[in-house]
Amino acid sequence: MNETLQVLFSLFIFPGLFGMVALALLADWVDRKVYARVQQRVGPMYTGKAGILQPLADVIKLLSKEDITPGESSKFMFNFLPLAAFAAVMSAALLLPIGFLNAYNSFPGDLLIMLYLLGLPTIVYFLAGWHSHSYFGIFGGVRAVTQLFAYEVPFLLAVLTPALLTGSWQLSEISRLSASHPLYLLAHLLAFTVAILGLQAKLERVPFDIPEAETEIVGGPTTEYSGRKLAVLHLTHELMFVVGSATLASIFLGGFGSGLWQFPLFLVKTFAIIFILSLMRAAAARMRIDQLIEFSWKYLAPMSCLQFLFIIVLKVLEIA
Amino acid sequence: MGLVNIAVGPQHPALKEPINFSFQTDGERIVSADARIGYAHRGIEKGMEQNNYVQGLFLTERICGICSHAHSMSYVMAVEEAMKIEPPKRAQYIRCIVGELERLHSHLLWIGVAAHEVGFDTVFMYSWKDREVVMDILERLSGNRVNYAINIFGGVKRDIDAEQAKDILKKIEKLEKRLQYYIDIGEHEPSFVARFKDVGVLTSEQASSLGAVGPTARGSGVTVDHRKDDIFAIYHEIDFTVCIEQAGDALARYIVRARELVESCKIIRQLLEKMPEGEIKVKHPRKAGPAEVVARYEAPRGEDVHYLWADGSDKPFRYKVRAPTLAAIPATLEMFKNAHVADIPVIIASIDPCISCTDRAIALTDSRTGSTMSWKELRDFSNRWYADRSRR
Amino acid sequence: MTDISSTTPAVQEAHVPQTDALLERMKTLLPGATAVKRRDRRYEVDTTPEQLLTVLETLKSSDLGFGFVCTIVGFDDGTQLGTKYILGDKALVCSVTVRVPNDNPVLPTSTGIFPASVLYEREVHDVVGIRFTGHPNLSRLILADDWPEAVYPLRKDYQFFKDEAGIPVKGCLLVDTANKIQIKK
Repeated sequence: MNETLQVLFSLFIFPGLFGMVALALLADWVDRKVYARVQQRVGPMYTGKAGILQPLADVIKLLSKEDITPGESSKFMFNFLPLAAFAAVMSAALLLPIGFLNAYNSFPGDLLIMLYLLGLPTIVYFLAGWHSHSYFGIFGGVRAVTQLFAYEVPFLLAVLTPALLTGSWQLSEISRLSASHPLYLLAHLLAFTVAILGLQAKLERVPFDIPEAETEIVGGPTTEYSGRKLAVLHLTHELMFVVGSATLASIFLGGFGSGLWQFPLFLVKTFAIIFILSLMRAAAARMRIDQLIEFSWKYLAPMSCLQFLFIIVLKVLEIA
Repeated sequence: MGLVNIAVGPQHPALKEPINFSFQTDGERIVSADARIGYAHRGIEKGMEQNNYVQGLFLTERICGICSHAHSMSYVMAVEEAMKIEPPKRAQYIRCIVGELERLHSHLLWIGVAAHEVGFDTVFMYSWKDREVVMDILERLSGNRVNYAINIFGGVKRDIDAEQAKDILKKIEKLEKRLQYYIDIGEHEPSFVARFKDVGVLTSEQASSLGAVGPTARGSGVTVDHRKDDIFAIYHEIDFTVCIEQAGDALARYIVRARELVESCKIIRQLLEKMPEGEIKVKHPRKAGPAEVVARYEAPRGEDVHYLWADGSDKPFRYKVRAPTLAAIPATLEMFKNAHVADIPVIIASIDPCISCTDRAIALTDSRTGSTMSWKELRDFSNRWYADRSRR
Repeated sequence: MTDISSTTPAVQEAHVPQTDALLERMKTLLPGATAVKRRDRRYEVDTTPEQLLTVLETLKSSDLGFGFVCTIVGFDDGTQLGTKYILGDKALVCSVTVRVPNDNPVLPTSTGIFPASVLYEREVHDVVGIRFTGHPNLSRLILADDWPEAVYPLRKDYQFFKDEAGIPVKGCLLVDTANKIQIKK
């Protein structure tokens, strides 16, 4: 195919802007349906077949609402921050080992850039809360950064362990290795658990939705946002959901292959992880920030260190 | 940072009704707390002085939605004492059945709200689904899900026939099997226990000296249950246990309420089996008194005290309602000391706040000018205000 | 289930047997106050503002054991203001009535004896206008923040009018005979 057409397709359709946004809305629908069925409810039902258009309806509704900026905050920062978060996550989406342009988006070290880009939204939440000039915003932002200190180190260690085994920082290499040796998932079980918990914390979903604890601080960093800016923040959150799950799927569950098989494999593996995260959301209560820090440093960090040691031992003994 | 003043309420997602708690915090620790009530103030006490006793029956029922039967019962007990009439036994049984059903639905509602405060929406959905069973029973008995209007001076207005009794028994049996699940959650579910354990601790001495009542006091080891302590309605003929826990934290209060659910099912079964035949009401006079009566009833949230000063006419001279949540507020302010900010919703939820009960009393005038607005004028005013605003 | 039927109103005190062990004990411990038994498990004590704290203290800490304050009722009986302290034990209730003159409605606070009465006294101050000396915080509790000063809704001379449909009409007439405040809008 014509090179320009390929690039345009990848930038805008898959894994580009519209394709990713559509997948994000689909992930939102799956999450809400699973959450509802566990709670003996039905979830979205009427918009579209089985409610599948409900997330799209929510975004459209948000876009049509009044957009208020607090008087005391810096207009530029307040308006720019949601776009910054969206841009970061969209760029991370382009680095996933899918699509037709592997020559462009796959290079040694892209895993690190991916992790960095996925960590940016948390800093943006902090800044957004800070610039809201409301008590709830500042409190939520501070909690977001405190939570970052809790889960980020175990999460990074867990995600980097397969990289150690592969001997490369390149995401496509890692996924190729785990695709050709499916049993490696058992060797990485500890890392997989820590990574799933870390991803739930990064996405700030129950049991780790402390920054946005609805019954305590109303909306956390997003309290003062409304209208279009809130729509962008909402989309960013859903997008990070898909991108994070896809990253974990490509690292631990064997990636997506190449050619036309990518699309179904991507859907199946990513949505498997989304399903696990939704079940976790329905089955637990929210933790308190000091309980989370204690849990992370007492259990998650040692677990990932143990996993790291295990992989080193495996490599030294030439088993892997 | 220095001390920060936080105001929780009157509008806040943690509160189901408007109340204002203001805290001074140092980081995530609370240093001091104060409460301000009066946002759901409707002038009921003064209203009761202007209306006769039968009209007062409607007023007292609407003090609160969830504990409406409790207030109605206290009122009816007080006025019957002043009128010197006694309702027949069958009426007492029916009153107690509705009272225990109300306790069931109130505690199930509370379990859902408490779970929602800690982000555990699954338990919220489950408990409110079970609550629908109780609401169906109440609707079958009285025609309404809340505000049952089943009391009248001298008895009750509606009877329970054999078919309704059989239906109630069947539904209660099915419900009882589900109730063990909520006790299990309070004892074994780690994320839930972690949020409720050692939160909002109230020692036994503090509970008695600060005047806590109901499950708030029973969770701190104070043995006070008005159904056992005092003789009213028909409770002295029924066999049930009072649920006491010693720990004094929010988890203990949760366990007390979860166990009380099981006890209420037991009581309802006994009431339906022992209910005698007979009349359901006697005639009542129009005037009451002169007498001074204090009536106490065990509402789902604790002891509900109504004071009536009847002067021999058909209107009360002075009527005072002390709802259980008002008694719990000083205890709550004590619980806030040295708590985390994240524990605020849990502490507020653990006393089972029913702010509508707390706020009745006096007159209906309006704000700045001191003048009153009729409903029509209020509507016109608000229409004009919004029209002006959109033009700007 | 015969307890309610043994009630008798205040006027016919002669029919209520006054001989009761608890009643006798009360009369011994509270020499200055009048103690009567209204019915089974309901007692009443009348006292003066000077003796109020002693009476409350005795009722709480002696073997009478009324350690729980249920509520405090502020009332206006047409000629005088007063408060009733409704104290409770498990099943017993004792109401302590004290009346104050209209021109100087002051009472000592009972928060030293019963910490739970802090909110009840605040409410009485709000709606009837009795001041409690020594109370830690007598600010507004239930009335709105901009409610006019010295206007006490639960006094008998505070009235509002209704039209034929029973809806309160615009304007509230307050005639405070003591301070001659007339607010008519």
